[in-house]
This record gives sequence, C-alpha cells and structure tokens, in this order.
Amino acid sequence: MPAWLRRLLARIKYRSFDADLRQELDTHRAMAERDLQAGGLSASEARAVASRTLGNVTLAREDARAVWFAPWLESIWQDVKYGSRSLRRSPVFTVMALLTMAIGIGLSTAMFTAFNAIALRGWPVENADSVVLVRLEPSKQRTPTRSQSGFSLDQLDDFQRRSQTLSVVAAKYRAFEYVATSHTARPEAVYGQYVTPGFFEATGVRMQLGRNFRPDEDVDGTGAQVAIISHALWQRTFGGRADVIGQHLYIGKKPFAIVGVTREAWRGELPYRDDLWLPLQTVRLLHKDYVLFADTSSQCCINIVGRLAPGVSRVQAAEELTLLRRQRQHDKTEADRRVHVSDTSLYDQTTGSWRLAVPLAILVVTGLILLLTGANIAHLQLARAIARTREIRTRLALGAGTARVARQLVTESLLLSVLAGAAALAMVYALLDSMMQVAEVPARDMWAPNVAVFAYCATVSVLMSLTFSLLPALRSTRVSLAHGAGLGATPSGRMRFNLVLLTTQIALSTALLTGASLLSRAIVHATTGDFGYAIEGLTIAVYSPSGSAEERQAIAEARRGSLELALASASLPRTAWMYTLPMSTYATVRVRRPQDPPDSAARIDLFPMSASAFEVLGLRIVEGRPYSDRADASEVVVNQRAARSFWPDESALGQALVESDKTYRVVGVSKDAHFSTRESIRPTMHVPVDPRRLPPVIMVRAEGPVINARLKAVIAGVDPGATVVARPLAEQFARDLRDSQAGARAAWAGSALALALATFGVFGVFAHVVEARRREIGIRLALGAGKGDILRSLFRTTRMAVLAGLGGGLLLSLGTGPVLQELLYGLSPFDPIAFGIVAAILVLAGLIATFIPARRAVSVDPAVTLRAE
Amino acid sequence: MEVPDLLPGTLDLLILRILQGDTLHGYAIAQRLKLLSDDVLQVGESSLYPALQRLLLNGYVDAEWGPSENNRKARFYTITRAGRKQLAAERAEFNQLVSAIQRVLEKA
Repeated sequence: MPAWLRRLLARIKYRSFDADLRQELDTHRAMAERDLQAGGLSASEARAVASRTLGNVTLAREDARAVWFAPWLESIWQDVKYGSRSLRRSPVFTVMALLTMAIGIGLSTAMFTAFNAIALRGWPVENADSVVLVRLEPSKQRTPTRSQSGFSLDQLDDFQRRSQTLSVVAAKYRAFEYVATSHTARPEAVYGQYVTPGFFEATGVRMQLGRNFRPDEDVDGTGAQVAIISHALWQRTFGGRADVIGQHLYIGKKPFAIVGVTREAWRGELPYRDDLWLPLQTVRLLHKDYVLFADTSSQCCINIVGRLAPGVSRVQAAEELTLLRRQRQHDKTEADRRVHVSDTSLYDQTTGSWRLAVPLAILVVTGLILLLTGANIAHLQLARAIARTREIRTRLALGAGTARVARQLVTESLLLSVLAGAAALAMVYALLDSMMQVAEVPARDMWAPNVAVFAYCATVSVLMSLTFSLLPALRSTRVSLAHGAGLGATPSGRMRFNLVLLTTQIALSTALLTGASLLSRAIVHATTGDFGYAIEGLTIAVYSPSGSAEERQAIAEARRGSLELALASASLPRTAWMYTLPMSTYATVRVRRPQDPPDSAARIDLFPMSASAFEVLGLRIVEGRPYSDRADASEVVVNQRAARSFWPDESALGQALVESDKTYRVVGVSKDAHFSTRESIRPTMHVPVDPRRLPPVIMVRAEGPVINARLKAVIAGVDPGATVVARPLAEQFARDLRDSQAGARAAWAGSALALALATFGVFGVFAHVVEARRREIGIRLALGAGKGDILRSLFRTTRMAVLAGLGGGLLLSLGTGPVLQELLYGLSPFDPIAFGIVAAILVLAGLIATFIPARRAVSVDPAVTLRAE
Repeated sequence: MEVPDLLPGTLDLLILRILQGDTLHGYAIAQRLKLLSDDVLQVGESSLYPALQRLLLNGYVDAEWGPSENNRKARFYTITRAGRKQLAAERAEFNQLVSAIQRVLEKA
C-alpha cells in the first residue's frame, strides 16, 4: 500500500489514531516507571526520573503525529475552522459582507457576461472566425439613398466573380412572411431571410435534414418554390415529423416545398429569430411590387455574407472589395464609400463612436460598482477589526507569532471571499435569467456558463477580500498592547474619503430610484386617467387580410360590404372602423384656411374613422354633428384644439380647410382627446373611412371572450385566410407598453441593487463609528447622557455625508427628469407622487441601515467598557 | 542522560534490526536497544515513537494491539518483508559509510 494511501486512511480514522498513540505512550511510561520502581525507587521518584529520561510526552505525540500529517496542513485546517467559527459568531457582519460582495461582483460580472453574449459572441457555426458580413459605410453626404449599407445584385455578381479574398460570397435579405401548413390553416408570422444558395455554405450552417438550395433554384428572374425551415419551426408547426422533407408550406397562398431543415443550434441573426429561408429570386413571386435590388432605389440592397479565403484577414478583404467596387462606380461620391468587412459579432458590426462608447461605459460603471463595494466592505471590516482588538491582543500576549495571527486573518478573509464568490455566481445567473426575461431574448444558449465568468468572479472576490478586509485587520495586529484603538470623533483622512464614497452611493441610489419611480408612475398614468374617451369596455379586432395588395384592392369593396353585413347579423353591438388603433399616428397633413397663403399650411393629425366611431368610443361632439360615411365625403370633424388654432374668434362649423388638392368642410367639433400620443393633445381631424381601403381595425363596445370569438368568426367567415387578433383595448395598450414595463422593471432592479449597496454602506460606516467610540459612549452613559444624545452625536459624523448624498441625488433626479421626459407618456418629470414614493423608500432604508448599530450603541454597558480602562 | 546524536535514519535501522528476530512493543524495543548497546544508546519517547511511526508509514513494520507482560494493552511491532529488504539495504549502506569514514580518519 503506498504511503499516501496509508496517510489518507489514518486521516479518516483520525480519532482512533490519536487515541492509539496516546495509549501507547501512556503504556510506555507506565512500564518505565514500573521498572524503575522494581529497581528500588519510590513511586514519585520513579515518575520524576522517567519524565526526565523519556522526555516531553506532548512533544513526542506531536512529532509522531507529524510523521503522518503535514503540520502545515493541519494548522491551515485549524485556521479554517477558527475562521468559520469566528464568522458564525458575528452573523450580521458576515451576512452584510457576503451580500455586499455578492451584489457588487455579481452585478459587474453579469454586465460583462451580457455584453459578451450580446455583442461579442459570433454566430454558433463552424469556423465562425472566417464568416464575415460585408457592408457599405455611409458616404459623407447623408442623403437617404447614400446612407444605405447594402449592395445591388450586380455588385454581388461582380464580387462573386472577381474577389480573391472571399472564397464564398452570398446574399441575404430580410423576410417577414405569413406561412401556413395548408390552404385553410391559420397562418403564422415568421421571420426569415431570402438567400442565395451560397448562404449556407458561407455561414457554415449545416442541415439536420435534407439539403441546401441548388444553384438552379435561384436563377435570375425565377426562383423555385422551395424553402428551408429552422429546427424550431419543424418542431413547432410540423410536430417534428420525420417526413417533413417534401411537405409544403403555404406562403401567401403559394405552395413551397420544404427541402431542408437546419440544425437546432442555428436560429438566425440577433435580434430576430429566423425560421425560414427562401431563394432570393422568390421575393418577386411573393411581393410583386419589389424592385429587385438596384443600387439606389429605396428597396435596394441585399446584405452580403462571405467566407474568407484561407490566410486572408478581414482588413485585406475590405480593401479588395472597396477597390473592386470603386472600379465599377462612375459617380464619384458613391465611389468614395468604403466597404466594411466585419465578423459575426454585433460589436464588430457597429462603427463609429458606439464602438468605443459602450465598452468604456461598461468599464466605468463596473469599476464604480467594484469601488463602492470595496469601500463598503472596508467599513464593515474596520468595525469588526476594532471589536476584535482585544481578542487579537490576547492571542499575541499568549505567544502567538504575528505571522501566525496574520495567517489566520488571511484564511478567514479567503473563506469569506470563497463564500462571497459562490454567492456572486448564484447572483450572476439569477440576474442573467431576469435580464433574459426583461429583454425577451428567447435563447438560453447565449448565456452558457463560461469559464471566464467563473475566473472573473473568483479573482475579483479574492482580490477584493484581501485588499479591503485584510488591511484593516492586519493593522489591528500591530496595535501595541498598551495602546487603545485610537479612532476619534473627527474623521481622519481615510475616513473622509470613505464618506465621499458613501455620498456618491446615496446620490446614485436616489437618482436611480427616482427614475424607476417615475417610469412606473408613467405607465400607470398611460393606462389610466382621462383619454377623452372611455377605454374600458372596448374590444378591438385587428385583422390582416390574406392575398397580395392587388387582390386586396380588387375585392376590398365587396369584402367590406359582406363584412358589414356579417357583423350586423352576428348580434354584435354597434361597430366602428378605423385604420389604426388609438395611440398611434395614422398620418399628418398640412392644411390651411382657404384665404391663407399656401406656405402657411400647418400640420394636423389625420385620424380616419367611421361615423359610428364617435358613438362607440364615446367621443362627444360639442358642436355640430358627425359626418356621414359617403365615399366622396369632404365632411370632416375637427377637435377643439384644431378649432381654436385655426378659428380662434369664431365657430369652426361650416369653415373650410384646404390641403394641397383637397378641400374639407368642417361639420362638427369633437372634444379634445388623446388619439396619437399620451403626452399632449394635438390638433386632430377625423375623416370618414375610405371604403376602397379595407380598414383593418374593428372596434365594438362590448367585452368578453364571447365577443372576441364572435369577431374572429365573422372575419374568418368572410376572409378565411385573414389573421385576426381580438382583445380588449385596455389590454392592447398594456401590451404596447410592454417595452416600457420591461424598462421600468429593469430600472427598479438596478435601483434596488444600488440602494442595497448604499444601505450596506451606511450600515458599515455607522457600525464602524459605533465600535470606534464604544469607550466614549460607555463613559458618557455612565456620566448620565441620555440615549438620544448619544445617537445624535453619532449621527453627526455621517450626517453631512448622508445629507450631501440625498441633496446630490435630488439634484441629479431633477436634472435627469427632462431627459426621461419622452418616456413618461405625459407625466410630469417632477411628479410629486413619484418623489414621495422615493422619499418613503429612502427613509425606510435609512432606518434599516442604522437600526442595528444604533441599538448596539445604546446597549453599551458602561460597566463593561469602564472595566476595560 | 543524553543520547548521543545518531546519524539521521540510524535509529530506524537499529529498530529494524532489533525487530528482525522478534515482535516487540515500544518499551521493549527501547530496553533492548539500551541493553545491546551497553547503556550507550538510550532513546526516549520523543525519538522512538516518531521513528516507529515512520516505519509504519513506509510499511516496513506492522503493528498490532495485544496484552503485554502485565496485561496492559500495548502495540506490538513486527517487521515485514519490505522491512527486511530495507534492513539489508540500509545495513549495507551504513557499512559503506562507516568504512569510508574510518579510511579517511586513518589515512588523513
């Protein structure tokens, strides 16, 4: 049996090992004494002689044990046990320190990981390094066409033929289609790409089933009706059936045969989730009005994907492609534009100031967070170190070497950092999980555990622990035995620096809290309050008709007629029609009074709706009457704002408004209401709905799943291929606010963490002050000071810092209020309720932070502290 | 009485040699050593037991609990095969060393 194994076994059976050794030595000594007694000595003499000759029993035992167990290991284990016991004895400190470190490290790590996952990671394909995206940089003249970053088909062709640096050149063009598994099934909206056959070769995406597109399926002018679908779509819509190859997808009623299914790992480019790939030339089939990809038309521009030839760098490729392109351009300004070749990470694709700004911002914020965390830890440790001075002094007096004591403190510190690192790691994953939900990023694979994350957490944790906790602790070992811990009432230099940090923390937390509070209040404000019409009880149905634009136009009139009939007969209450939902802008036009000069035309919001809408919405007509729904009606209704602005001194009824070629006649004035934005009420003009354009929004004043179902049934009965969404208007508004709600949640999360850090900071400083002045407190209490006096004098140290922090935070909030204004949906950035909420939270946090140290302060027993004098 | 400084590792050698013929407990080994060396080598607990533990660790001896002469529980040590091999090797090495020292002392 090898020696190490024996050691291991002995370690496991340690207790019996030790007992055996002890017994053996006792026996030895007993036998020695017996022999000496047999030789004529008395019992006590025998014992004395035996001791002298045999030597130190304890030493013998230790040396014997040392043969088996390396003594240094043993003493380290001893340190660990002592350290954990010591941490357990001061639970408040331990918990605070752990939480502070966990938050600080967790937050900064999460930011790094998020940045890495979103911006720095390339596509999950083989050889992602050699996959490149090719783009045109904007020209110096920023006209709309000259800012396009894509290329024409001709240019693609040219690159394919002449480029030496790219071994494969392919094109992609974003697609958004409604697909169905059969003529009559409900269509599903999917994102995808129109691609040339080289796309999958260039990107290295492999097929799980089936094959890539063949070159003959993407010939100029005609594309074959074939499709490649994603793994997710295959599972979702086709149930993962094994014979999916050869099945058909119906896109715009046209059948496309499925020829391939991509691997599960590939889901297209962020931020989209692509499910569908079609040959590039089929875009003509599906969208007749597309002009295919000339250089300068507004629908231009495919994007180019390529694969670098072996040994070629991206810079070389960019230079070559720029040159190739320049040779074909006759227009000098166009020829100036450079080609940019980037890898597949989002970061590499950005150009300009964002490239520097974002990483820098992250670095700064992370550094700040770590600094604040470290300062908090330092305070906590300082407080604790003072409290332990007696313990350490005793140990030193008993003969422990300074090195040994220092080593024990280091071990304890490392123990804390290990625990904190583990907690930080847990926090990172929790944070990332919630970030994923907030941002609605579906893929879990982006956040796969990363060695770098572990390493970062571990390193920062250890460094922070050593730097910020060790130094104060070590200082206390150098305290001479006769000296007290000399920290007075006036802050020393270092203390002042820490107070500045505290101020910063409080200011930041206040500002963040205010922001979050405002955002939440804004959301409440946006969904409640007076819109000018009654939102509750309204249900809307939005439908997208099937068929192409021409088809729709041709049958619109007929469809609408049948739709009206169907709705009337479906025993629904009165319905209204419009083109867009409220809270969105349909169009703005420039109008003027007939007698005004042409260039005085002012903007007015145009909101077409059927005459029945006034009744359904509950929008009051304050003057005149609603218009009729005649096709060529020039009758309009304006709102009070418009009336006041155009005709301040007279009634608007009967007046005329001229757009460039049309004349409108005002027949009614409606009450001011929010139709386009929540922030303000703009001059609005309501016109009748044009029956030639089938209005896709139906509104009815009734609620309930029955109503929803009936609406859907009616529409489906008239146009089976249409996609219908029916829900209460209030719910629709809430959905539209989803992004804002996510933003508000994120703001609350951020401010909660900042507040936690600040609270721990205040706690730490306060605890430190209390410990440092424990003796003084004891004396004052003995001399008859009241508890209130004690607390007041303690607060004085931190009072300036806290007040400065709150004041700074308030200023910061007031200053950034206007910045947030456009997110606030019309809420005032100085909303008193929001500020009130923040004040309440801060007071609560302050109480929590100071409660325990204050209680410790007033519970100082003067007798105990005086005894220590 | 002081124990003269033995060359390091010599104590282990002597213990193995003593155990070559017999199974003994710790005290008996110390007694035997004292006897055989005419009282020159007197070894105490603090030297003997670490040495015995070393031998145990390396597998040169085995230990077993048993009753001693006066029925006290004592640990009896027996040399193992590996121990015998080690004894032979160390003995040869020791002889080499000692004769080298003696040669230098005579000739120098």
